[in-house]
Amino acid sequence: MLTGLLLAAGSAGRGLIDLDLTSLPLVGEMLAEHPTIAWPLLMLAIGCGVVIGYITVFSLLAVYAERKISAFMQSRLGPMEVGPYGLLQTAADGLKLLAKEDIIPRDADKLLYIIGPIFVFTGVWLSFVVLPYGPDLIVADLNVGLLFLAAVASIEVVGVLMAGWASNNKWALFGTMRMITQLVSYEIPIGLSFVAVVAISGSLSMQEITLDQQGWFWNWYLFRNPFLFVGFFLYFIASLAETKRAPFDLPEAESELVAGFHTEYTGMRFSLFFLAEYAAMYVVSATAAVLFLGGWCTGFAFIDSWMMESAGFQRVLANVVGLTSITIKAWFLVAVMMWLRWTLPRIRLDQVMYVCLKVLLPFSFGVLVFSTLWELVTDGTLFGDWWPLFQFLISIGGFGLLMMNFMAKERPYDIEADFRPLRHSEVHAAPDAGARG
Amino acid sequence: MAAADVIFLVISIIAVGAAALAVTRKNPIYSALFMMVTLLVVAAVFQMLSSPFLAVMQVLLYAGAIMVLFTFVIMLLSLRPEEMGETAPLPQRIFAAVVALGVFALLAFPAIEPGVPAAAASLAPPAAEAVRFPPAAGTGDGATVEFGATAYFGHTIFGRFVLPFELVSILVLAAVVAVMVLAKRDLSKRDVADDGSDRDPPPLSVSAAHAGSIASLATSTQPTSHGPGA
Repeated sequence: MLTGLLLAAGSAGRGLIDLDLTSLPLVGEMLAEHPTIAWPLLMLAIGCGVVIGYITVFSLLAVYAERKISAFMQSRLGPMEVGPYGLLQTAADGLKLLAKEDIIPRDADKLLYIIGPIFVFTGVWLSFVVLPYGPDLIVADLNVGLLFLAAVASIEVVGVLMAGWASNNKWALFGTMRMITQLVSYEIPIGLSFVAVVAISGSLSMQEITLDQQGWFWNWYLFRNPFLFVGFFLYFIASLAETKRAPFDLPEAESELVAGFHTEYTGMRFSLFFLAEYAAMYVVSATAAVLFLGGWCTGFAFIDSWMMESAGFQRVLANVVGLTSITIKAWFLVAVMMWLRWTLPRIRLDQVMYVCLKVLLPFSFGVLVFSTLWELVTDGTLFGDWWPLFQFLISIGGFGLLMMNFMAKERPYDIEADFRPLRHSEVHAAPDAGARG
Repeated sequence: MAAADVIFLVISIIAVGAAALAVTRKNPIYSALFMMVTLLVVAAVFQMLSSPFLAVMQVLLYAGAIMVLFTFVIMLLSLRPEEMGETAPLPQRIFAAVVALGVFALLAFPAIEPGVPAAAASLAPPAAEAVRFPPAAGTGDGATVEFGATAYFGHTIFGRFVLPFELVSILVLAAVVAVMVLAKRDLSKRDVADDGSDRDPPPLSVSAAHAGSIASLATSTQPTSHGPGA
């Protein structure tokens, strides 16, 4: 919440900043002479600082939450020693990481080894630029916001490639190969989910996508039509793989690969990967919140309309409400990710590829085609103003029927079928064997 | 000098410098990475030409997908150190230089020759800012679409240039099919292997060893009472 207030003060209280900064000698002149360049640069600088603070605080809290949730699920207490209920444990761990010796292996490619983690962190950090937190709380409302998110994710891939290859370590290289295979493949269902949403919103701007979902919660794209309802789950599963969370955490499977692509990293460089991983969890969750759960809209029509109409101090308050709303949604999804991690066993690499190419991909195409068709046929106003509510009920009802059908057909879990060792011919046909170049 | 000129100057120096470095590096990994820098900077040029969609696509497709694939392949080739310094024979290098200069001259010609930009301008759509399109989703009735915006881009590709666009799609499809045929090494042998009979292991490479690790993984991921590790 502290970072929230900072954010609110940083970008919503623009009048305040105006008074302070224009009176400064150098900055004031810059602002007066080149207002079109200096203002965006200034906002960007403030935004960058706030985002770094936000990532750090979020990661500290998320690591604490992850430990407590895993402890709860395994009937343990989790960290209890440092601070009340172990609250300061992650801060202590952060200090430890900072103080650790920074080791660069002798045979590593030094330049790439050093800039790898920077690329990974930058990729995730740039994503925060287009995430909206409130009516005015967005660092840059690009008109290609959603595409920008997808593009900076690919910068992260480059960083992983550099880090894994430069380490000159076979575990790091294996981890990198798995990671790249996984990331490049899962970008496709994620991209298709994006397109399905964009086909309805008619805009790539994150702020406009959010604004299109104002009003009661049945206006959210999650309930927009039965197909997008499925699309949300497809996106969520794909985003688990994109952030290499369990059950898709093959790239850093510690029982076989030590730690994957960051095996050789220590100290601050390792903590950059660590921060990036947790920040990426937040980014995909916040993206899911914006695309399907109304972003910073609260889901109550009267609050949303007040947020848009308010001015002055009320506007700042509205931004805080918006920030709280999207933070709750994103944290909820992050909590689900943690829950899944401590529930599901890790799946095999060929199963990872199977899920992506033979399950998520065709379903995503189906979602894209049928949700667009649904929009064309119903035109958003089939039964007048109450149509969104009907769509909400149809979505929920359809999903309920589907689940009941699924439950009815449930067979006893066949452990042999899912976990039998692979035959040699199957190993050869495994998807990543095709990566031989 | 306006601020935009300064930014453009910096961007161009980085782009040309990185391109030169990409050509001269001995290690192919560095060449690929410098090429990636060039492509990223060209995205900045697109942004300066007020075409954010092209800029983001440049990052997404070229710097992201294509160059990642390049680097991936180079890394997996795992060249020996003595192979890295190898240079092409002189005639080949001269020929390559001539071709490169020729292409450069062709591209630079319109910029130098005064008559050509005017001729090229006549090919451009008339007064791009004022072009009115049929209503797109969410833009109301016949909105004026900003030049360089995603909507403008979409209308241009799927309206004015739809035929070349579809032809390029067919070309890409043909390439995909060709790659599948080339990559599938022995079609007849594969059918025999599919009915369960074991085959000789593939030649040992990084990915073959990796495939082996999947087999060992299959036995190591038996569900246990204590769940996945910490």
